[in-house]
Amino acid sequence: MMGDELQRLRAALLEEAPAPDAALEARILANRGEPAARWPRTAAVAAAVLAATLVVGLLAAGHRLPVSGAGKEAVPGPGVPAQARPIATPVPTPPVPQEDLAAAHLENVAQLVQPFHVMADSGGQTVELIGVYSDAVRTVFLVHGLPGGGPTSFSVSDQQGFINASTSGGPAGASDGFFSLDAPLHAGPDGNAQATLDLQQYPRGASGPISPTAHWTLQATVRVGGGRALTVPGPATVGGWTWELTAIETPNAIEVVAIVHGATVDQVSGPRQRPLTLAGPEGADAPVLSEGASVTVPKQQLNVTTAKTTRVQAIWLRGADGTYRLTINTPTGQQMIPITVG
Amino acid sequence: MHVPFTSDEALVEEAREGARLAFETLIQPLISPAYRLALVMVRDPSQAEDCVQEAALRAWRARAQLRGGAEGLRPWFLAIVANECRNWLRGRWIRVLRRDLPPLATESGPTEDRLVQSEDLRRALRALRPEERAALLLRYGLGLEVEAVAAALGVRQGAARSRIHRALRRLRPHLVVKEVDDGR
Repeated sequence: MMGDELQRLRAALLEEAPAPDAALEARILANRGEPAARWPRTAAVAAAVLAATLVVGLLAAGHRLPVSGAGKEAVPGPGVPAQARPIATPVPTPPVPQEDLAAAHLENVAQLVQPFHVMADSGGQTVELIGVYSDAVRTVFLVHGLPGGGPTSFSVSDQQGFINASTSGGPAGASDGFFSLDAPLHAGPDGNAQATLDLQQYPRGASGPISPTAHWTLQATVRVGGGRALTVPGPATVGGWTWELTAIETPNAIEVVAIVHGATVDQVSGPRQRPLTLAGPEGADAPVLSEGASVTVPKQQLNVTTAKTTRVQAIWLRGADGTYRLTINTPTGQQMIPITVG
Repeated sequence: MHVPFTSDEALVEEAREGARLAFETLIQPLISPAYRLALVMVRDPSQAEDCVQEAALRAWRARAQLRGGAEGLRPWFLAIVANECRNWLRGRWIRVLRRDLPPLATESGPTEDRLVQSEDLRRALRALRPEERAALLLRYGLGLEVEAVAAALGVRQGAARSRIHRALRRLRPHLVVKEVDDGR
């Protein structure tokens, strides 16, 4: 078949069957324990809001089990939130291990990581929030004492409620883990946020519907760091689509968000297609912390027109001050945009 | 976002043994293609979602039957989705007529010509049988090999290839096929 015709057929097929809204995965997986017929769609949507918070970090095996006394004292049962013992402000010790900072890409802002000593017990395990980094682009929690084995999910909320954003996580030091949210906390009038990190761990290899074996709630008052808007040009036409850009720099990261008019998510991004790339002042690609593309409206508002506006977000690790080169990549065109950072 | 710190093969083994989170980690990236397959077959977003929902439940119940490791998961799950869609299509007692997009303007330049051609092609796709649309979506929309298309549709490779050829022939007035697809 001719290449053009194949492309045309593929485009027509994908327009006939557009990608689902971002919350579909959460809805499907949240409802999987119940037959669809007994799970009203409205309830499913409500569940999705909760399930969207669920971000699974499969923590590497080999974490040492925490602390003495585990399993000896009366502890909350599985799935029961543990008693948290928040401390209102950061304390100077203990220092955050260097390997935790490296795993969470926080080495360039080590002095801005706020140390905490907040502990929570559940399922016979004690975990400790040892540090939080907060800026206008990302919020990272560092936790010590995570038991190995099962996968751990997490969600983040503050005094304004659950924060819906993309997340990532992984192992850090010996029994540490980091949990990263690609969004800022909401600062109160005093510049602080009442942050809550909700962690749930599930058994590995369990059968049937399962409940978490441990559920830790860690709360802390976090100073919310800021960011600075970067100067970017007005709407640009690249690849036949109009790109509206906004960009922010923080001490830790550079974030660019593009609203792409005229393109669907599939047209903008794909397995080998990165719509936005960033090169540092010395020409090397900036390390990517997060990237993704999504529709801009809820599923209920998706139609032929709204599906053709796509939001592209990318976050890179910030390097030295200087002129960075942002490149917009499309199948049919490319444009480089210089951005002054610092 | 799932952060895989373990191999897909290990996850498949855990999923087969009943580890729910391992199962979800494997299924999650398949939800979007599954939804597209369902949508192209049933042509109703809500029903497509229900079919994928039901398929996920059936897949969980049938997890012990998963064969072929991580590579086998995709056609296996898509086959369950296609079955679910087929069941729904068979069980429907009323066919809903859908409103097509309004006709495009008759005056046309190069851009408008492309739009009209594109819309004509989409109309032709809608006129295909659900199984034919599914075959084309799997092969050309999702890029599956014919072998995987056959597995997902629950037919032999030859039958899958025939179905794709037949569907392409039926699109011919709107799609120029210069050579017969050979499944490569």
